[in-house]
Amino acid sequence: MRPFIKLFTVAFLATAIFGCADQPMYHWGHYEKSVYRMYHSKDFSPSQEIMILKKDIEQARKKNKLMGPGVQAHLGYLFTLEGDTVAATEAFNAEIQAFPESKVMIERLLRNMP
Amino acid sequence: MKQLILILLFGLLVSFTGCVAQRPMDYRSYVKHMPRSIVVLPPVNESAEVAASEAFLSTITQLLAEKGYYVFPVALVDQHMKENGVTVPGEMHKVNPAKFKDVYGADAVMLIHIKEWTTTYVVLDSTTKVTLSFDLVDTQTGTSIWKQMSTYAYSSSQGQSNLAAMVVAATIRAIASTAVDYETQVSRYANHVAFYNVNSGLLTGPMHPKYQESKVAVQAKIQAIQKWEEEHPEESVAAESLEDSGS
Repeated sequence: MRPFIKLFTVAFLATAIFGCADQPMYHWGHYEKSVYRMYHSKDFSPSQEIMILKKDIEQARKKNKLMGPGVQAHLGYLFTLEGDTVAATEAFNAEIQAFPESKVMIERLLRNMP
Repeated sequence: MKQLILILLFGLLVSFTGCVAQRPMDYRSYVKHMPRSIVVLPPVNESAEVAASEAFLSTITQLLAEKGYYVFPVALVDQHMKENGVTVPGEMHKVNPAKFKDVYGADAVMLIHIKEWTTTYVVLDSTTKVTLSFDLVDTQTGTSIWKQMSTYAYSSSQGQSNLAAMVVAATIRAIASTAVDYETQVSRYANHVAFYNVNSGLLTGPMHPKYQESKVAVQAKIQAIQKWEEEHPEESVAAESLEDSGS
């Protein structure tokens, strides 16, 4: 019985403390996990990460939410690792479209692309 | 008798600390140079954990962006700087802030030091502690607009004394599935504590839907520091000259 009471209390408090926080503005999917794996996973594979992030973007579209800042640029970077410049350009442009704040950086990257 | 002395001591402590008015957080240059976009550099790692800097990079974007700022893609920035010959965080932090305006169009640069990132194991108990220092710098003037230190410690068997900590601990357990996963989660909470603190955290940024609304509260913070300075003329002069010598 006691664990249930404890669980209930924690759940109740969680709602009380975090419940009034704002809804997240963006859809994040697996972005941060993907960044983590890039540095720490021994079997890091860009193509696998691309697949995961593409699914996230699809999901954001369905929910009518914006992907978080940097996610589509990160996807573009993963495409460059695969040598797919066409798809990379597309993803980079999607980042500028969603966040004009990224324009200076992304246009520089696009200029330097092979 | 011992208890009585303890109670008396406690009473004295309360009356002492109650008398000293804390200098409120000074948000004046933050407001003056309110950034819209922030580039986060890989942190300088002062801890013994070799992988801490890169692990940290995966724990900051979401918390910072949801506060109302454009956050540049962290891994991409890291790679781009490395390709341009700036290979380690220590060197990256020495780059003139204005350069980040030029090259990325960033309004501010976030400089982070990992002071501590440890997990200690004692029998069945493990304690993870992350201590971070943050410095948000305006790229146009090189002025530091927000500084903060943050520590978060979590022990797997500790009895949580306060309610918020209990909730956070429960959430950590739910999210983390592996040891490193768990450490990055602790680092995420250290970020959360720094950014979302009501008195000293980051201000709501221009990309947040409540940015306009938040300005009333910010104005109150500015009045608080002005009032404090009027009441403590000597200390405020000292603080100002300190700022000058720093920049």
